[in-house]
Amino acid sequence: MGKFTMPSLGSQMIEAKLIQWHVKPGDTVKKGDIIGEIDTEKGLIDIEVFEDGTITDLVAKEGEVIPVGSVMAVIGEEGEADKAEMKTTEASEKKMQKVREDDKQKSETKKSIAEKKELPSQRIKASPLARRVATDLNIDIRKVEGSGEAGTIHRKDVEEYARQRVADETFEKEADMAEHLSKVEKKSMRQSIAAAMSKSNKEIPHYYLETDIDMKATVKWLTNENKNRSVNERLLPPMLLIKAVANTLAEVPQLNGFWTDEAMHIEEGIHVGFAISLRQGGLVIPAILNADMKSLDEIRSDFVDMVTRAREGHLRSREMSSATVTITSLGERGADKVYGVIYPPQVALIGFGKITDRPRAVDGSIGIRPMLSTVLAGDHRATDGHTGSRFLEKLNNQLQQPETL
Amino acid sequence: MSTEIDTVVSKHLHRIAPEADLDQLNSDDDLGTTLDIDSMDFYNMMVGISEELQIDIPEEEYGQLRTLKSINKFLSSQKERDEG
Repeated sequence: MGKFTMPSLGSQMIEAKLIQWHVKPGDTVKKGDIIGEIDTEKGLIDIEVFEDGTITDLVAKEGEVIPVGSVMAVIGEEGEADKAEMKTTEASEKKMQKVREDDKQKSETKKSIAEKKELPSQRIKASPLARRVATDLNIDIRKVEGSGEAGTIHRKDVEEYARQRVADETFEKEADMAEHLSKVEKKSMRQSIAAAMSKSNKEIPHYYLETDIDMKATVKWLTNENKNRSVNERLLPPMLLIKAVANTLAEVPQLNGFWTDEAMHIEEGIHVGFAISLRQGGLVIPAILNADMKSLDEIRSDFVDMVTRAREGHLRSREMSSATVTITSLGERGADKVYGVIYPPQVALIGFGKITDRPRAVDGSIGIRPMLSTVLAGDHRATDGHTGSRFLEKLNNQLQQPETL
Repeated sequence: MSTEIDTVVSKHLHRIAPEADLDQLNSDDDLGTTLDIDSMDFYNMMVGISEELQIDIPEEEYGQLRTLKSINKFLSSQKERDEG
């Protein structure tokens, strides 16, 4: 039996209004399902559940203002609500079980692969390579769903399973994370930004490191790549920057995480927050989850989807509370460079200016190159300039090889 | 025909900048600076227009598509070419 509580979407949020439920008592929910909509200082947010189960009670009423951490709904274990009906004859019980199994099969997506722990240990068909990869990654191969002939497990199935396992683990951690974010008075979005930035400026000893990245290789690769893509599949520079930052953080994890309780907590999942300004003023910073494990195309579709939803006011609670690092990019019309303010309790913020043609010494002569000013803001309590410098160097390397992103 | 293009462009412009008064917009105004449209808005607008009018808009053309006039001119000529 679990309690679904009002999530915290940032250190400044103390309450939010429940606009509507998308579920009713008796409904079966799966981890990640959107069960309702709340109105916060960050706009309308879709709220997700963090466990599988059945809704047994909706405590919060639509229209009610609920403090962060208060119980909104009670979620029983799957099928718990049906207990009364289960006291019937064995035949009907069997029938119900079948119905439930059928439902399960219907709704079975790749996401639920990780949960198929109850599978019997039948003879497993798997390629030798798949078995070796599974052993290396410490995965029980019986839990992996095979995509090959007669369910044969291939290497890619094992890797997909591993990817999903990481995502699932992150999901659970994020559920806890909302807990340790502190609460301050709820006000408008402007005041919420004001509070976060004041806290940052007061508490975080920022250091700034700056470098100019030669974007010739990236821009060239991007232009070529986009020639072969239809309008809606084209890549934009921010998508590459998100991916490059995520890959670099995998190499320099010290900048990925939170400074809480006077200590640095490095996070395993790399969730890249991206500052999106809103037309009506203010900004939101939703995160692309596990960006280092996603392909460029997955980042592209996540990014487009996220920006669209940010502007329409349909971000999800998980996206709003899980960033482990933030990128701010001023786009093509913005300033040349940006010295950002870290969003607490994160410990780093990467600011990208606009890409502009500038003179640059290349191989002993001066050339005109598309340059990108990149400024890292680091929390000096958590890291030192040496780490930040390594980060920028590796980020530069990533962007010099755009084809490997 | 150009009316159809006008309508579609206005529709997608309104979608990304709902508060903007398009009647006040001159056909030579730079959309980016006048309406504060960023590259992501522009991208979304191009995707919408391209899908609705079934016209491909190559990326290398983006640079010149900064005003209503230039967008209109480009789309009209692409359409004529496709139909011709």
